[in-house]
Amino acid sequence: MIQRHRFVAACTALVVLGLCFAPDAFAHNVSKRDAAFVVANTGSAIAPFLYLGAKHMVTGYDHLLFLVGVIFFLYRLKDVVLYVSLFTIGHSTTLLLGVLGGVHANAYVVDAIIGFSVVYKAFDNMNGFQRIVGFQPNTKIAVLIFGLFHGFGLATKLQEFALSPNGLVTNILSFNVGVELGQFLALAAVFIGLSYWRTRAGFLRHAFVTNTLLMTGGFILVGYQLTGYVVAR
Amino acid sequence: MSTGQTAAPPHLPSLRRLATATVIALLTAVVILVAFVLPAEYGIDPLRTGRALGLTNLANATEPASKPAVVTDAAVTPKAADTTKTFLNPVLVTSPTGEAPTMKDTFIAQRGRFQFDSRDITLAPGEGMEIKYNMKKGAGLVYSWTASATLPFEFHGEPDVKPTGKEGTDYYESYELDDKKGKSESHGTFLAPSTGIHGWFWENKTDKPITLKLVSSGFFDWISQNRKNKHTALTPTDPYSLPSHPTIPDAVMR
Repeated sequence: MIQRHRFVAACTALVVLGLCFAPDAFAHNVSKRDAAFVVANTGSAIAPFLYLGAKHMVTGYDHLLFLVGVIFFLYRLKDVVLYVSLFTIGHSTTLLLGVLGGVHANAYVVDAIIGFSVVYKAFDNMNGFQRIVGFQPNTKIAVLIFGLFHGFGLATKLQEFALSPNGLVTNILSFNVGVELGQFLALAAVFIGLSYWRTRAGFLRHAFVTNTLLMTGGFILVGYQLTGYVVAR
Repeated sequence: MSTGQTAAPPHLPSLRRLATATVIALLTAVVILVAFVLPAEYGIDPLRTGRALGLTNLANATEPASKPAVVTDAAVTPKAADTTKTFLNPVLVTSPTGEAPTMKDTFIAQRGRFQFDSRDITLAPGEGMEIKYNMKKGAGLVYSWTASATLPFEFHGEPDVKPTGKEGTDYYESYELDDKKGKSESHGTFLAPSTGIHGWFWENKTDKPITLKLVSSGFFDWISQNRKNKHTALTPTDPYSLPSHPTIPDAVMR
């Protein structure tokens, strides 16, 4: 049995690390071909923007790593729904405000903060705050605030393209709904995997190590984006 | 103070364990960043691991033509496979009766409406940038650009499909190159020899800003801008959206 837990832990580690090296097409930006579509498009196009939003979320490893951290210790579906709703409220607010209000945040800084959110959540899961400051900062408020930053990250991705004003609101809303659909799909897979793992005795034993790996992934994202910020200046 | 996370492990980690884990996470992240991510993403390669593993090629592939242009034979020699019907081969036909000669094969059908692009660019001292149009093979372009000072430039294109053996490299074809003295203006008609992106790289090597105006009309759908190593897709102007004759008074020629 111990062999098996090691195997599960090793697989998780590989997935976390593997996501960090995923090639560009699999990664964060809307790909070149999709960019061509976004730019060439004038008028409302609900289905394509739905798809783009969903694709961005399913392949956006920074959002996913954060969500893995958030639901890591959520055993009840009710709690998962509550926390994910808070996250959704956060990122939808800033996605809409960012694009419609023309708020331009620096993509590197926002993505570095998103990387930091992964580090924060992993540290929280390791009971780091309870150990150091004696209490756990409110997890609901944290997920809402980090959700706001994730939304700015989504907004900067859409703002890289000169979006046509025709059907802008419809398209952004479609993109947003697509983000939620993609998030639901990805979370369902993560939740099923975690639920299965929790039935095993090794879960709690490996939880600390897994969150250390999650934290590593977060640090890599922070370093990657901060370097980009320096290089691009 | 538990907020829905009641199932967290009841025992807290020791401070030592927590610190060790955090430091290990940080150090592992730094090693992975420096050894793999930075070489692959930005070409920053202090440990030479990127070069050894070929990762730096990934970084270089994302910034075409930002290096000094080198014209190779392969870049200027037209390939036999390119001489299809998407190429014009205008022939001057002299009249047997001594009248004015006529030109044959000067028409090529296009897929849809042409697009218009006009932009004013200011290049800071030392800055280089690219504007390229995505064009299908055989698509036409008419352009003019004028600058406030001479500057080195290259008019070149990157085919979507690179020649065999050159996939993934910085392959491009040069159409007009002046990287020595430079020019302050250039005007031309152009027929895309391949489906891909075609346009200019300008570089301000002076210590003063240079302003540049570019106007183009042609059969492209979007514009690729590469500035400060950031690729941005820009929207062209639909010429049908421009004012037409009732609003622009006709000037009568005398």
